Amino acid sequence: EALTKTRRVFSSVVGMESIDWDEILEKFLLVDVGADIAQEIVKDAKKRWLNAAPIEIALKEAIEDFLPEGKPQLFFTNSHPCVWLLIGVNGSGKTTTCAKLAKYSIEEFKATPILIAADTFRAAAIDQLKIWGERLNIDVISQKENSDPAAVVFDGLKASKSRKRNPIIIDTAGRLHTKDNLMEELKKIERVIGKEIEGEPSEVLLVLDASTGYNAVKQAEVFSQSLKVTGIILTKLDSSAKGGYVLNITKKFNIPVKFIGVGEGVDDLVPFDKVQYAEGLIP
Amino acid sequence: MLSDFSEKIQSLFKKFRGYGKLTEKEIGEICRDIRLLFLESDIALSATKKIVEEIKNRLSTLEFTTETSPGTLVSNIVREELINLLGKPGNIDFSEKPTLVMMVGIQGSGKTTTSAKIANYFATKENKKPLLVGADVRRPAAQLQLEKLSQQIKIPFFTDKDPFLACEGALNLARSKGYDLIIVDTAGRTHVDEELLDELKTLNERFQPKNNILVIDSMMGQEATKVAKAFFNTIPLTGAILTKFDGDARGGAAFSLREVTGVPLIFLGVGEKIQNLEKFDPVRVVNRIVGM
Ligand SMILES: Nc1nc2c(ncn2[C@@H]2O[C@H](COP(=O)(O)OP(=O)(O)OP(=O)(O)O)[C@@H](O)[C@H]2O)c(=O)[nH]1
Ligand SMILES: Nc1nc2c(ncn2[C@@H]2O[C@H](COP(=O)(O)OP(=O)(O)OP(=O)(O)O)[C@@H](O)[C@H]2O)c(=O)[nH]1
Ligand SMILES: [K+]
Ligand SMILES: [Mg+2]
Ligand SMILES: [Mg+2]
Repeated sequence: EALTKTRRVFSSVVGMESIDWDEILEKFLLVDVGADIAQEIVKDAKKRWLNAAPIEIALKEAIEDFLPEGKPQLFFTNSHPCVWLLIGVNGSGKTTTCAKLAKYSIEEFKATPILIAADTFRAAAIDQLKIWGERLNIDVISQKENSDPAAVVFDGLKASKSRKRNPIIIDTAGRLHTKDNLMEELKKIERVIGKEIEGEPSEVLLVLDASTGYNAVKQAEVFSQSLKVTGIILTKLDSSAKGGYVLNITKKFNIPVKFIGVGEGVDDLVPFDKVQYAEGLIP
Repeated sequence: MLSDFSEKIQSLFKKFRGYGKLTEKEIGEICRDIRLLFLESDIALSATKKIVEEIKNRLSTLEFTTETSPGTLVSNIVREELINLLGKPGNIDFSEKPTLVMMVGIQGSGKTTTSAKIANYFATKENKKPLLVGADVRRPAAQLQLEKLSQQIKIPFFTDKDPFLACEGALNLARSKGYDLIIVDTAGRTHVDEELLDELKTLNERFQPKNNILVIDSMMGQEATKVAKAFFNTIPLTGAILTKFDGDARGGAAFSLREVTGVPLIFLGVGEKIQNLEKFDPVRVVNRIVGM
């Protein structure tokens, strides 16, 4: 619904007798699809259109081709505690999304989630997560501000296991991908999790802001070089931003988008639907 | 991706004889590369078209000699046009006592952090007596975030249960205690949320801040145009701050903002720490795009 509500960028193009491919290309650039991918899509769509596909179908299929097959899912099992780790640059929506995912796990898996506040750096980040925990009536494990985040995770995993909580959702501090020491800190957290629970984290979710531009591709590149990123959560799609760069990311790094964020409330999380996403780009 | 524009332009010129005028085809090739560079730097499409047209005109009248490298010449033209677009850095208007500064922007752009940074900047560098006001009553722990930051820098903090009461109370407090700079941190809002934009409009009408500052993220893409327009149409923006410039984002949003609103940039946010605030320097932002 939020997707259809947002923007109909192609409305001025669709239905035209002769097609202005340059204008279509520009519409893609305007939603932050990188120029290289935009050109590929246009080329592909043109081929389909010449093969008698209606223009909107041709474009939709060309876009869908850039997105992986199948419905993306979150890994969850009752046989052992699953760990979902949220990462991303500053302000992208990690903490809010932790709360949304906790709620989702309750509804989808009848799970008993717990939150770990491993952002010990940003002022009141712990309090922010705690408020979400209170609202959802679930536990939040935390220590003092400025504690070592890997230690918080280590202790938090122990506590979560003894309380038999599952999934264990970990909020981390925002960090720009260019800061090597902070990326090392994340790798350390990932190692701590693997040592404590074999095979975990089963989900490392990169939270990206839909209003970001081409830099998002770099974020995906560097975060996925450092950690085993299992999926993307695209937030703030309730604005008019589209995050067209995900086409570049899925193509280059093969990371699926798993959820989209469509508001600041705890229910504003929707599983990613590639048909709808493609349709959101074309009326 | 174009990693180093200067290099790319130099290599383009290897094909070019190095003196005389450029052919139309050569100009076309150069301009296509410049256009790509701008778009990948997230400069708004409309701004990109405008500057590239300008550059095209300048290139067509250019006479190359053997003395200067054509690559350097073209890079300099691009640099000049970009610097022109950014214009001179803006200022905080202190003409009214106490001076009111309202910080606005979309969610997560850096308003709260930057509010504390500005308070600290003027307290330490210009001897001002700031008061920080938490007017974001929506996001969980938003007021507490600003309160904690204010404690770190030993600057007074004030809040109330809604943004109107917070501003009113802050003005009274400032008058009685002699605070001369009131910085109001507002809740993040998308540029399509009419209800919340209306709230800003009413706040502006009621308190008429001399300074309405838009906080924008360096990483923002083409959306910056719409964000800038929506806020600009809601309240009279007097300046902008580009945050998170400590990463590798090119900061094209700054150009988009200038192109659609003409609002000047005042500061650059260059880190998560309160001290990480610098006066806006157009050359620095342009160098990030064109390469040194
Ligand atoms: N409109 C909208 N706002 C969102 C969405 N997701 C998060 N936000 C808002 O974006 C802002 C930042 O969200 P946070 O969850 O604090 O982001 P974060 O990544 O944890 O930020 P840091 O910890 O500071 O790096 C908050 O104001 C959220 O309410 C979304 O899907 N839509
Ligand atoms: N690296 C870096 N991070 C920054 C900068 N400015 C702000 N941040 C970070 O960006 C994130 C969001 O900053 P906030 O100040 O909470 O943003 P906000 O606009 O108040 O967010 P909402 O109130 O949720 O809309 C935090 O993690 C800040 O530490 C900067 O210049 N550089
Ligand atoms: K872009
Ligand atoms: Mg957070
Ligand atoms: Mg804030």
